[in-house]
Formats: sequence, C-alpha cells, structure tokens
Amino acid sequence: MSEKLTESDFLKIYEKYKDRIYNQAYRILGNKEDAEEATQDIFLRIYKFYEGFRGEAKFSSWIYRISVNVCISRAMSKRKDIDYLEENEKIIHKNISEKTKNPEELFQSKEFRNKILNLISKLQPKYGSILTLYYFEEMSYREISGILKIPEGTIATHIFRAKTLLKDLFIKEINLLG
Amino acid sequence: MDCIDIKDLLFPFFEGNLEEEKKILVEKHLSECKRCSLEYELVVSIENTLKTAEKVEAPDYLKDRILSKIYPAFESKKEKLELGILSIAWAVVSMIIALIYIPYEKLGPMIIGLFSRFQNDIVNFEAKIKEAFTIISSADFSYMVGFVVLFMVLSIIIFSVEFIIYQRS
Repeated sequence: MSEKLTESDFLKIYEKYKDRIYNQAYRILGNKEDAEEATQDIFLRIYKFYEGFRGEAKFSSWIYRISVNVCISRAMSKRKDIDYLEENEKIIHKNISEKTKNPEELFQSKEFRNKILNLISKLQPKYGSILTLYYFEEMSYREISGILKIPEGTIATHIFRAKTLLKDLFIKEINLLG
Repeated sequence: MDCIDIKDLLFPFFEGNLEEEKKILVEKHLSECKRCSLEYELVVSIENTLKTAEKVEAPDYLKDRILSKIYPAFESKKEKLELGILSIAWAVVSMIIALIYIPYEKLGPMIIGLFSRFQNDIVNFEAKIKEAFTIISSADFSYMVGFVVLFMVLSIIIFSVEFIIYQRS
C-alpha cells in the first residue's frame, strides 16, 4: 500500500505530467476553461487515490487512465450543452472558407491545422482520447490498450475510425468537395 | 473500384497497410480521379497535422490553484512568501530614502565613527554607558542615523535569507 503523497512528491508528479494532462484535456474538450477544470480534477484524484495505487500497472498508465476517465466523463456531460462556435473557431472557419479555392495552400495553412485539432473535440471522447494518446503522447497500441483496457485490435480500429471521422467532419463543415 | 470504395482505403494507403493488389488499384484511381486525389491530400495533411501538433502547456496559475486545494498549508506558506517579498521591498525603499536624506560626505565617517567609538570602549563599561548618555543628551543623532543604516542592511540580509528558504521549500 502506498503512503499519502507529500507536498514535494506531489509537486514532482505535477511538474512531470501537468503539460501532458493539460494538452490531452484541451484537445479532447476543445477549450481552455474545461481543460483547466479537468486538469485540476485529475490532479485532485491522483492525490486522493494515490494511497490505493498498488503498482500493478505502470504509474504513468495509472495517471493516464485517470486523465482519460475524467476527460471522457466531462466531455459527455458537456455534450448536453448547446453546441456553440467559439469566436476563434468562427475566424478559423472564415479563413478556411476563403482558401478552399486553393486546396494546396489551404492544407499548408495554420488555420487548417487549428481546425483539424479543434475538430478532435467534436469526436466522441473515446476517439479523442485514443488520438491524443497515440499521436501526442506517442504511445503504442499495447500501451493504449493497457490504459483503456480494450484489445489492441480495437485500438487500431478506433484510430482509423477517428481519423476518417475527422476527415469527413472537415469536408462537411468546409464543404470542401462541393 | 469506385470513389466510395476508395474512401475507406485512403488512410491505410497512406500508412502502407494495403495489399499490393489493392495498392495498385488505389494508385490508379487517384491518378484518374481529381476529387479522390484531393481527398487523399487531405488525408496526408491530417496525418501531418496530428504528428506535428504543438503541445498546449498548462498555465502557471493552475499549480497554485490545485496545490491550495490539496495542501491548506500551501496557502499560508504562499502568504508568508508574499510577506517576505514585501518586507524586502520595504527595507530597500527605506534604505534608499535614508540614503537620500543623509548627505553623502557624512555617511562614511558616520558608520566608521559608530564602530570605532564602541571598539575603544570595550574595556570600560561604565564609560560606555556614560558616553551613551552623553550622545543622547547632546542630541548628536549622527550615530543614530548610522545605526539605522546598519539596521536596514541587516534587514535586507535577513529577509533575503528568509526569501531563499521559502522559495526552496
């Protein structure tokens, strides 16, 4: 049985994982307010449940499992809210629309990159979680499978499905193919 | 192979996960169909975006917010730290004001005088007391000013040490 986290140990964990957790939350939830609240919730849970961590899994996997669970449940509850377009989202949308006549230029643009990354938060949160773990945390299928407790084959299918949805959402929102 | 069949093969094609036969069919279709070719460009760009996405960093203020929820003592420690910083600022400002009001040419002799006077009087305690009364009764405050300057220097040292200790803890 682990002992209660001291302040200095907690700080070490915080410094090591804060940006990874925040980045993941930001990508899944799509805005900084929710990402901040989720990050806070995740670290409070890490502190609260640390005593129960028995070392059966890797410590980082245990942290990512908490992180994914918090982000998914927060995203699910937020989906009930009105789906609004943020101000910067509107600007991105406008700039992209202006560039659709020249797709090569569009695909190289910052607006395109931001749009694609913003669209991750429009996917089902389980897809968003897997994409962030695979692409941003550069984890293998096996590592993701260990964190999410789903078979490796399913991870591969989810990643393919998530990317296809990103592509289709982009085409639909921008009306790229007319 | 038509456009509908191609749609689901674009990501596997990019990843090189298609059998040779299907790969040739996709290549052929992409060279003939402008629409699917554009969609494939989109696939490549999405992959590049995901692989090279910048990480968003957690804001600095989040740390204090989280720590103060877990460790109530953290808040009081933070307040003490802020108090320490204020104390240093106060000491520095006081010293600057004191230096402005003490004529520059008197400052050196004042401090030297303060030390030499007490150094000579170590043996004779009685004389030292008498001299202290003489200083006060003759209202020669030049020694006092020197003492205040010395006190401020010590304050800065003390508060700086306190600041370093809190910052490390």
